[in-house]
Amino acid sequence: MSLQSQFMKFNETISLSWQDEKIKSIREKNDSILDDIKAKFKEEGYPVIDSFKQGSYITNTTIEPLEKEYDIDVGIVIDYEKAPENPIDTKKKLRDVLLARNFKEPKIKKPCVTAQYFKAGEKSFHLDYPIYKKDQFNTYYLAVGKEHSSSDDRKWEESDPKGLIEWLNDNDYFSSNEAYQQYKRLIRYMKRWRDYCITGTERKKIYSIGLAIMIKESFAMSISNDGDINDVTALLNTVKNIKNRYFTCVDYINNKYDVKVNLPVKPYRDVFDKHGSTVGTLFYNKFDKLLSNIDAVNKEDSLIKKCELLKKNCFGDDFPVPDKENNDTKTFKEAGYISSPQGA
Amino acid sequence: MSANNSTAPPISVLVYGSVIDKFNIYKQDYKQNESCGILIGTHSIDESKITITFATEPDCNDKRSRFSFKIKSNKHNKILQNRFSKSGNREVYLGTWHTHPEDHPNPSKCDTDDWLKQYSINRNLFESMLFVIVGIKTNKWFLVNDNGIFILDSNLIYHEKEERV
Ligand SMILES: [Zn+2]
Repeated sequence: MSLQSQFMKFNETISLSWQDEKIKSIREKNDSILDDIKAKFKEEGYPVIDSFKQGSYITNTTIEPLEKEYDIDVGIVIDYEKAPENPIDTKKKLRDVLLARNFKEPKIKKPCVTAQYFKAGEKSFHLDYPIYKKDQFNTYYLAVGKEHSSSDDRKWEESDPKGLIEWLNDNDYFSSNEAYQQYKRLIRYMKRWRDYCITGTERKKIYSIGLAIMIKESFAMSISNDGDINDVTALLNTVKNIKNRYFTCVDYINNKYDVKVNLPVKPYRDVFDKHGSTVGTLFYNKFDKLLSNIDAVNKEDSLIKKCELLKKNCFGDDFPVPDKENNDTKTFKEAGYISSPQGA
Repeated sequence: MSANNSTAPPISVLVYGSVIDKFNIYKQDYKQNESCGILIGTHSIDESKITITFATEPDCNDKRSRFSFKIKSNKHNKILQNRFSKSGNREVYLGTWHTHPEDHPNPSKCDTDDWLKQYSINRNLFESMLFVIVGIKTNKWFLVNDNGIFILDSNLIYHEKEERV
């Protein structure tokens, strides 16, 4: 038993895949809503030519939500030539579909149409539908703008949703598959840390995509030459790198920080755009706290105490605490002398 | 052979699956040379259980022929020292493994002499050491302590799936 094996158990507990039996009913609902959207858009003269899952399901970094609200993020693609000039038209039609299916208050947000699904006795989930038009060169343009946005604020904005997925899933970027898997685990750990340590409206501003980009760009692998995997060290060093990389102090007296994390693909905009210094300061302080909490874990000798600290201060109840100490094995002054063994 | 036939100490040995997998790779069922390496693992506090967590593999600096071997590479010790510190001084040198080109192996005089030598050098650290000969069909396990060399009954050897670490 080791701290690493506790991390592996934690990873398994929080991981959630699109194929998971737990979300079968949500998958089926998603399919049937998609059918309605296709029918509606066809009627409007801009048929859906493609739809694809975005977000964490496709990067395999979805975690079990703490408040049991599942997220689904599906890109809807229409043909460039058939798309209406005003992107908001398509978003209103999509909202109509959701209204017809009795969703409570579907909303047109700047990058997508969104709805919540609550029903007694059923799993609740949250749907996001970004709409794209795609031209003959396979360039995607995202329908950007709210319902009453002025003509300046609404546009079809060039965007690269599939490039972003490829970037996040680019195995070749990492020195080995073990390193790639460690990077994916860190994303899951950090998402659970966010869900557990940051609450309410603040939590909603810490976008998963921002976390994932920072973790990939700042990833500090911790796997030794003989294959020993050490997630707690990887986490510590990655968070240190993140702290050094994305933050600028904008107010030295009140310790305010700005954060800037650019998309690695088109339109290369800042993920935390317009939230800059509120999110920045929050993030900075939470990262600091996380680092000091991990330091405390590393200073602790007992495996049980290490796990209790991680559970209480970083990850919540899903982090497993073993019931036995690691110290049912002896410790030694020296590893022993290998004196040129031989035989026949 | 000079193995002691009096009762072996009540000790059980847990062998990680990955260690067994390595033995199977080097099994001398064709005309390969003898293979050898060291066993690394932990002792329980009450000395009732030894767990083998890792076995090193032969290295090009080791001397190997069809009927003999000598561990000379310093790679084995590097791995040992690394695992020792990573485990908080728990994983230590347990003994050696080597292959024999026979179905049910028996130790040679040369083997048992070396085991006694390995133990005498380490006896101030460890109460006992473990040695295994990997045969083509079966493996034979030996424990060495102050009272000599004991054959370990195969039902005291447990193979377990490695903890996912
Ligand atoms: Zn031999």
